[in-house]
Formats: sequence, structure tokens, C-alpha cells
Amino acid sequence: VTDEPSTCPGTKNAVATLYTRHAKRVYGLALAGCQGNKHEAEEIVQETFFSVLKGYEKYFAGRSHEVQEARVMDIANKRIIDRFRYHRARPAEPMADLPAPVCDDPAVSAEHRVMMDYLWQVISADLTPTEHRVAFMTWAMGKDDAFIARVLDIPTEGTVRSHRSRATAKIRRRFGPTMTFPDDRGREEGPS
Amino acid sequence: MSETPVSIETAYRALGAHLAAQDESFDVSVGLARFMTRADRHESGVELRLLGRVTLLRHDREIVLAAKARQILTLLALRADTVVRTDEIVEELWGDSPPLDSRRAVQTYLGRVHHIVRAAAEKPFVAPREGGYVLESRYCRVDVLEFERLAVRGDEAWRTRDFAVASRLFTEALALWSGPALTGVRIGRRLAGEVEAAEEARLLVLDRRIGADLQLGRHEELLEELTGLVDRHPTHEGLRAHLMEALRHSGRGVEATEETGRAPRCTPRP
Repeated sequence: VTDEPSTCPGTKNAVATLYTRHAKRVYGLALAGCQGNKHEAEEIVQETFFSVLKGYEKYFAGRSHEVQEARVMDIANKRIIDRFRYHRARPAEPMADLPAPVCDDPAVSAEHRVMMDYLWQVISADLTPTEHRVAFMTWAMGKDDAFIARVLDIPTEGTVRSHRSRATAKIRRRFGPTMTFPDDRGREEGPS
Repeated sequence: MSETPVSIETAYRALGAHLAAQDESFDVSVGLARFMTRADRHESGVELRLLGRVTLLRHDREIVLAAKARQILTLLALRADTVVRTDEIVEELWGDSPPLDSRRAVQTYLGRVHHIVRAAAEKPFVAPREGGYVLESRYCRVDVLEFERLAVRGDEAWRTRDFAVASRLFTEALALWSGPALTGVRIGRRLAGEVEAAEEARLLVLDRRIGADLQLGRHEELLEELTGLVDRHPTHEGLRAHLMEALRHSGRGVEATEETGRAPRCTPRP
């Protein structure tokens, strides 16, 4: 996305519409990426839509809702990765103290809610920040090990795999066979 | 829980939507208002820096200001979004010895400021109001206001014991400083005391940032910085206390005790 300022009249209002439509989803993604850190998640929402504003004319104007949404989420992923880069040179931080979520939406199946709540508890309580970031970039974003190593300043791809193995073991221990991993399905762990 | 196996990728990709549906603390309208304010500032591209050399920039290019224009903008920025009366500006520029036609002179200076401002931005961030002028922070980024905003958010994070976020916010606030506040601007009666007040605010945020870092167990990393700070601010009790804590937790208890003895003692009142 370009850094050139946007000056077209109406751009700001168009981005405000996109904000109203997609901010909540961006916030949820950012919350998951930041292991429940609400302050960081809110900042990522702001940074995401500021990037949308700067690139609106070139990348959003006249595009379908589906394309716009996909691009907003793509930018949100990039801003989350920026946060990971920011944290890489810093010591490990304590886990976020986010209470277990409660969902009353009847449209969401009870089984799905229970599973997602449980996964979130495992991520919040059991994974170290680095294990979480490696797991998130692997499984939520589909990034490869070389990319993850560069973002997190991890010296080798083997170390990335070690972090992911530990995350896998912790999640597997809690979920048993109800959660499947790439190596269970006869593939090498991690996306190609 | 369901016995149907779910892939980890599916579960991770659904996590964001799940959390978004659960978390009621995120208010779209509040976030949108914050975004719109930032967008307005981006459109005007105007920034006034006071935490260091006083500088007016538009899209990162400096706009040269005359001495009195700089002094007036500084006064308006420190009281952003409130009306500064013309007689207050007269007092700042000339104190007790204003020229005979001081109000007209002020009008001339303000006219020049207004001309510069209008040339610098589509949105006039300085506007005349009843009996004075107002600098609208909606159309101009002022680093002092940014500093205060970050400090407040850092305090909020501190109160919820989110020390990592508090440390980051305080660090961002301190990074706005490039030297002593209000450098290069003439200080009149109204601006007097602002430099000291700004420095006190900076030290307070610095003290809190170090407090947050200590809570995160960064004792050894802080020793060098704290030693230098205590040398520069020997009467600052908070910094000295931080140094003693950092020494103790770094296995240097004897030096921590010696540091206690170095603290300046208050002279008892007769």
C-alpha cells in the first residue's frame, strides 16, 4: 500500500464505511494474533484502516465488497506481522490476562463454541509468546518457515519447527484426536 | 466437546471470528471516531513539534516561521482546542511593555500565521474565535498532545497490570522527544514554566516506563540506563529507588545498600 497521502474527496467517508463493516472482524483477528492483548488489537485496527485510507484509490475504489474485504484482512495480517517484528527483539512478555469468552449467539453451534473456547484457553495459558506467533503464522496465515524465521528473527528454520512442535504437543495433549495436525494427515508439518 | 476431528488450520482461522463475536469491549463507533480524527490530521498533513526544537511541518517538510509566529503557535498549541484571548497573546509577546498599537500588531502577526497556516493546509488549523484564536488539534498533530495521550493509555495499561503494553506505550511517548521542550522559541510570561512542566512530565513517564520494565523482570538490562539517570537527576527519589531495586534483583545487594547512603538527605527545618 502506498504511503502517498490520499486527497480525493469522499475517500475518508468511503473508508469509514469499510471500517464500520469490517473493524470488528479485524479486531477479532488481531486479538487472536496478539494472544488476547486488547490494547495491541485496537492499535492494529487503527493501523489497518489507516493503511486502507492511504491506498484506497489504488486498491479499493470500485472493487467488489468481497475484494475489499479480502484486502482489508490481508492488510490486517500484515499489521499483525509488523507487531511480531516489533516484539522480536524484546524479552518474552507475560501472557495476557483475558477472561474466557462467553458466547450467547444461538446461531453458533454449542460444540463449535466449546471447542473454540477451549482452544483459546490453551493458546492463552499454555503457549509461550514465540510458540504462539509461530503457530499463528503457520496455521492462521499459512506462512512458511523461512518467512517466520525472518519475521521473528529466529536463526534457523529448524528452530521454527521446534517452536511449532512444542505448540503442537501442548494443543494435542489437551485435545487428543479431536484436533488434527498436518503430520497426522501424512504431510510434512507446515505449509509448503 | 465434539468427537468429529477438526484440523488445526480450520480452528486457527476460525479463532478471530470467534473472539470478535465474544468480545463486547470493542466499540466500533469509538474506534471509528478515533480513526476519523487521525484521518483528518492525515489529510491536513500538518504537524507542530514542541518536544525539542519547535518546528511546523507539512508532510514532513519544515515550514519556516518568524520568531513571533513560532511563539504564538507554541502558545496556541499548548492550549489546543481552547480559545487563547488576544490580550493573553499580547502579554506573552511583550509582557508589561506592549507597544501602543499592540492589538493591531498582534492582528498583523496572527494574520501572517493565518496566511502561513492556510498556505500549509487545506484545513485551517488556527481559526479566529470570539476575542482570540484557537488551534484545532483535529487538523494538526501536536506532539505534546500525542505524548499525553500515550501516557494516559500507558497508565490505563498499568492499572490493568498489563506491564508489557504499558512499557511499550510509555516508550512510544518518550520517543517523541528530540531535545528539551520548546527549544528555539522565545519564552514570554505565558510560556514561562511550560518547559519545566514538560520536563517534569517526561521524567514522570520515564519513571513509569522503568517501573513497568522492572515489573517485567528486566532488572539487569536497566542498570546502565538507571545509573546514568541517577547521575543526572540525583534528587529524583523514584529513579534512585528503581536503581536500588534493579541492583538487588541483579544479585548486587551490597551496591543497593551503598546507593541508599548516597541519596541526598533533606535538611531538617529549624
